[in-house]
Amino acid sequence: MKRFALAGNPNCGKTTLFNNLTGSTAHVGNWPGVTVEKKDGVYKKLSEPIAIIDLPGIYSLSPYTSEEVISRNYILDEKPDCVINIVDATNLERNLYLTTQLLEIDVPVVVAINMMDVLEKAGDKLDEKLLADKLGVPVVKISALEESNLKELMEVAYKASQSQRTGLSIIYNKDLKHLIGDLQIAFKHKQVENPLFHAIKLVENDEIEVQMHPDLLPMVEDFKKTLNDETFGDDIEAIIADERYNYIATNFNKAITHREVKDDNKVKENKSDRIDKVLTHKVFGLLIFAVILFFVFHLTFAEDLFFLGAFGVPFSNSLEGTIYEGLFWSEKGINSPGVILFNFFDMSFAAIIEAVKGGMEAGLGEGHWLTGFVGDGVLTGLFAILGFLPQILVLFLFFSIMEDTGYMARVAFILDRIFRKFGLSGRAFIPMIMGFGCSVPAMINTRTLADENEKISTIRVIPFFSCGAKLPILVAIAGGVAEAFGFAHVDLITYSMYVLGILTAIVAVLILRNTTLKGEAAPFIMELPQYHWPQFKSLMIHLWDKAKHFVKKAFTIILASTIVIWFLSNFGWNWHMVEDMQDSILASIGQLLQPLFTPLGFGSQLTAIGWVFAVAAITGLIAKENVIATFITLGAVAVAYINSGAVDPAIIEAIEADEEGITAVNQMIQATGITWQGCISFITFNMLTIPCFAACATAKGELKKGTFKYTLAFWIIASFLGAGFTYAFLSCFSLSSLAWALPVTLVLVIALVSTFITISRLKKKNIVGA
Amino acid sequence: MFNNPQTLWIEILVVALVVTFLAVVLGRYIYKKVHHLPTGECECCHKSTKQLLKEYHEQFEK
Repeated sequence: MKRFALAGNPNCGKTTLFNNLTGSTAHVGNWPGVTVEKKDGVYKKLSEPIAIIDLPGIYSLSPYTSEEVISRNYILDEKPDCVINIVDATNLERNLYLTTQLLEIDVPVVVAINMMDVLEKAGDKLDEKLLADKLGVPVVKISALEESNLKELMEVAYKASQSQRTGLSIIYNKDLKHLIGDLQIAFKHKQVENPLFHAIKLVENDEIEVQMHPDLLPMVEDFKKTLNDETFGDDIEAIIADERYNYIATNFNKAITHREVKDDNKVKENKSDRIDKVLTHKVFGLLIFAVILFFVFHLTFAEDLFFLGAFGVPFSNSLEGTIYEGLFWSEKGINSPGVILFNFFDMSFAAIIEAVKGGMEAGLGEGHWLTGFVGDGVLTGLFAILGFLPQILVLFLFFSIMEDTGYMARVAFILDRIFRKFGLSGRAFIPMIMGFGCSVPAMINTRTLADENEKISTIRVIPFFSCGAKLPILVAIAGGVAEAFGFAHVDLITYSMYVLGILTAIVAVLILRNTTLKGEAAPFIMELPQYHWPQFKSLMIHLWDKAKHFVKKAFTIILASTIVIWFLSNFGWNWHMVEDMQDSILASIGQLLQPLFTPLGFGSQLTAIGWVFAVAAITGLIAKENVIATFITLGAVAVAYINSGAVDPAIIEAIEADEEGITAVNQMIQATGITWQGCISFITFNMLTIPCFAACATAKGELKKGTFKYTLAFWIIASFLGAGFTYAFLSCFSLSSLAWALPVTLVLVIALVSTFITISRLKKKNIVGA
Repeated sequence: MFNNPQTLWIEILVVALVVTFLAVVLGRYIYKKVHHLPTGECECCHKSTKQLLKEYHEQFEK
């Protein structure tokens, strides 16, 4: 099978082209650096299938970053049948710099001029025939986004792949050309493939070439002694780069005709520039981001859309008594789209569970263990998690729109100003933003960070950017708090928790970059992509990916965990079913762990069944969704405790008066006697603690050997300190829990100080390298 | 549990199914970790590529 490699600058549309050619659903982002590894797919519309390889975005073939090494090695070692060089038509000059290097390799090259739609909309024109003449390789105009001319591109590439091509240099400096020619002969003599490319790279003092061919280095060194360029001295790399840019400016600027601008002195400003003046403003930029983020959460989680209910707008009760009651609105106000979808799924799942339980009770008799296991354990646990899927999809739809339009790239730019002060560059912020989706790809993306200390700091704070799996915890606990304590705005709690995650990341970075992981922030140069309307197909690919992983996870690891939790909570150490869950294996493990969480507000101060919070916090380490699955599975223990008369009758009445489907969290809150401060602290703990197993495994793989144990310790300390301070701070607002606030604060301050002292001592002894 | 002869076979069937399910999920995860195979989201990309190659080999023999 023939293999075509897609190579080009970051954010020139390689992955969009790859997806459209192969029908794949690789993650596409309207920002540079989304692809950090090569991806394979198959194009089937030609006479024979073609393997397409999507290479990471690169600016050159010099080994400055890991992406450049991956792409260079693939082209040189794997020898694709054709390299399709994707060139962004709106940034021709910069993109052609890579093209001039690709031309030096003995491989068929086809240049695909992408984003022609954007160029033409701006009123500019491009002469592809002139470009092809000057480059000496075929040039095809395409739009990967609008899928135009893709077949023609593949046909041209297929034709090019059928013949051999010898590398061509565009360096016309007489002396350099002579040296390159000599080296080329030497490489040929050594039977090295692609002699021209290797010769030029060796002249450029390329790290890899110097290591691989030290015997030829004296030729370059001798030449350097005779060289004294007026501008660059003996810096050959700079001279060659200048040669390339000169060649591009002289030959290719003629190929593009810009729209006439009336006032010659006026800098041409396009629509994106005008929008950026507002969205990336020094002061308003951050404010606008905060407002956008708030509205995203409001539209996903609010039960009082646009606060209309709070303003006293009356709502019709025409659906009262029907199955639609509570679906679109409640007494609080109109539901947001996210809540409407959540309610719909919740109602449907509740009906299924009731039907299954009813059928089983009729067949097996009342109180059979199988009914409890299937109905209360497996189905309730599974559906409770699946019920959050619509809200997760709504939230990610908004995130995908922000990403696809190009706004997320601006967010990285805006936050670079803040993070730079704490020692991290905006480049590190890209994986952090990806952490909102899932920590695993986000941690993989840190490969783009050249500085090891910056990479470690970034991996450590990625879990603080709340991923999709943490959403059920947020929504369920926030919803439980809202129901149990009469707080109307779930969206405000969820929004605050996301902001808290970002703030904790900033504080953590500040501490790390000034203690164990010192270092300067690398300069952040990122080309801001043009704004464009989000593509429906791209959005759907994002959502489908999210939904697929979520459902798969629910039916494997979460279902397995639910079964194990049910077993542990229904069996005692004698391997017999227990009447009271308090005698179960899980209860004894939970009671053992419970005191650990006392400073955080969900430990020993709770009632006899307070261990459920300790158990939920631990099961969340397997997969974050397990926290809520645990509450659902252990719902029976709360009900039994409430029925035993240990809970105030007024509270029981409040629960029973609640609408159908009293959340397990609400039951737990009432039965354990946890305060709202404790609930918020519980969410904080889960937001900041060790991420799921998959993320831990990725972090271990990405970090330098021996540093993972410190990262684990960092996450544990951060979650305890973060949750502890949250609990202590919030407790100051309530007289009933003020007694806890003061000693807890004292304990945490002592813990913080001793952590600092320990780190600095270890640092002095050079034990903590990272 | 297991004390009603009329429902005994259903109970045994459910227990067998659950044990098999748990063994498969956990066993698969452990196997993949031991053999350094991709899990989670990485597994998904790996699978789709494998599927494309499989389709190709079905159409064009090696």
